Amino acid sequence: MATVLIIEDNATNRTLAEFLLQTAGHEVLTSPDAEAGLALARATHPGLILMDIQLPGMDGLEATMLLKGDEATRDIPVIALTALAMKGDEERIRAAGCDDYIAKPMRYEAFLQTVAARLAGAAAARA
Amino acid sequence: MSAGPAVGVGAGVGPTAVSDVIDTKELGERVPPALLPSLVAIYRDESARRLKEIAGAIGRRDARELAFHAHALKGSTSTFAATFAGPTSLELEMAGRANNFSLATRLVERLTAEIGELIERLSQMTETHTR
Repeated sequence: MATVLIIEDNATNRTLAEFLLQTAGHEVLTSPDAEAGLALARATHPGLILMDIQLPGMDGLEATMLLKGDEATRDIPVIALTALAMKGDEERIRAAGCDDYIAKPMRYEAFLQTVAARLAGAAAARA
Repeated sequence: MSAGPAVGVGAGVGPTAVSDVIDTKELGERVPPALLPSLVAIYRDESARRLKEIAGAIGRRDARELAFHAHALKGSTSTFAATFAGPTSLELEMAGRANNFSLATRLVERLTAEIGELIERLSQMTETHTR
């Protein structure tokens, strides 16, 4: 099991993701904004980050670029949480350095499968 | 009688059943039943706060803030597979992006009623589940 950091300002969706991850046995850290989320990521080096794209202040894409540009955090997989509402969203998410994305509204089985697959991939890369 | 959502909130007429405002099958794939009561309570507070922020943004003619909060409201509302409130919140976000404040004003009124109805039906569902 892993430590997963959720950076999401939407309390409803943050609570849902937290519940699902805890039920799956993960330790969960949460942040409602990118600035506090970045500080948590640097301090705890979680096994995975779930990053909302629209956040108050710094957005999720900029936060991901900062994480991926930092030697200390660039190996942490980042999964974007996004409604993919605008044309070109997927390209922007990939360009920012996100390793994967989960489209909102999310279905919980698919959500847990994507998280498990990304954690397994990260573990294999470290081995 | 006609088939489908004959009493849509979007048309300004009060619905009569859970299935009129919520796609219950889809909801079951998005939210575990055990979490539904607490998630509805969070949504009740969060949607009220977002609607207040949206009203403030319209008053200030702040399109960016309007679209921001409408997008966030769409995110939480869609989690509950809301038949009317989800699409209306998307329309509201688009109105914000288009700087269309007169449309946004009308949509907020409609969305407020739809979210009220959604919360009522979700509460009804949770009461049924916990009996």
